[in-house]
Amino acid sequence: MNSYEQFIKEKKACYLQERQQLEAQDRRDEANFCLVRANICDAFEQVWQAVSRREKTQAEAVTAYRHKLETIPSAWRTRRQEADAHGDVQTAAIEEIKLETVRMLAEEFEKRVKEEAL
Amino acid sequence: MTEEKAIALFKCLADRSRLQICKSLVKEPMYVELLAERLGLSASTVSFHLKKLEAAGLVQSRKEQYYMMYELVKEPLTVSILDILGEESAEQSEQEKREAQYRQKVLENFFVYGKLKNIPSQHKKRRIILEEMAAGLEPGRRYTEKELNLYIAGYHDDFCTLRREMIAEKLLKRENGIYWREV
Repeated sequence: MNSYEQFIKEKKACYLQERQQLEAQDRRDEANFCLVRANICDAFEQVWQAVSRREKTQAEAVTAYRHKLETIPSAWRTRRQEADAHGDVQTAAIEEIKLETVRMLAEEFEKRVKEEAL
Repeated sequence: MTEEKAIALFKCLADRSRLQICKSLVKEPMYVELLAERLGLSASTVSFHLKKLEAAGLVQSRKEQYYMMYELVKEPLTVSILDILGEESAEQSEQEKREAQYRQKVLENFFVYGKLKNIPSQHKKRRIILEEMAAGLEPGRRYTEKELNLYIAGYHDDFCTLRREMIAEKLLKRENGIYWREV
C-alpha cells in the first residue's frame, strides 16, 4: 500500500500548489479551501502511517484504516447538518470540503486495496 | 458609511472570485448554478461567496419559482471612496473597540447557533454570556420561575445555575419567586 501513501502525498502537494496559485490570483477563500483539503490529506496520511505501524498485518491495517475513514468524519457530518439547518453557508462549505476530501481518499483507498488483491 | 462598513466592503471585494460574481450580477440577477457555470466555480463555492457578499450588504436574494435569485445591491457601491475618506472617524475609543471585540469573540466562542456550549469558568466571560441572555428578557416584565427556567433552558440545560448567577450578578431582581429585569 505504498502506492496509496504516495497518492496522498501527491494530492497534498497538488492542493498546496493550487493554494499558492489561487493566492496569487487574489482568491484567498478558495486558497483556504485548498489548505483545508491539504490538511485533511496530511491527517489521513498520518492515520495510515500510524495504523500500518500498529497493526500486525496489512489486512488488519486496512480494516483499522477503513474504520477511521468512517469515524473521523462523523463529527464533520453532524456539524455540516447543524450548519445547514441554521443557514450557516460558510461552515457548511468548509465541512463539505472536508467530507468531499475524505470521500475521495476513501474511494482511492478501496481502489488500491482491490488492485493489490488481484 | 461607517469605517467598519467600509472595511467590510473593501475586504469583501478584495477577492477576484467575489469581484467576478459582482461583475456578473451587475448585468442581471442570477441563480447559483448559472453563476457557477459562467465562472467555472463549484456551486458550493459560489454560495459561500454570495453569503459573504450578502453579509457585506452587496447582494440580496429573492425566491423566484424554483430558484433563489441573487442581485447586486448598488447603493453601497455608489458611494465615492473620497466621500468615505472624508468622513469623520467614529468617536469610539480604542479601549471601547477592544472591549467590544473581546465581547464579540466570547459570544462567538460560547454560543453555537444560539445554544450555550458550556458555562465559562472565568468570571469576566461568564458575566458577558449572562448579560447576553438577560438582554433577551423584556425589561420590566414579571417572569415566574418556570417561565424564566424555560427561557434559560433554551440556551443551556443547567438553567438553575444560570438563573442563580443572573441574580448574583444583579442582572435580574427576584422577589417571592418572581423575576424581572429592571427598566
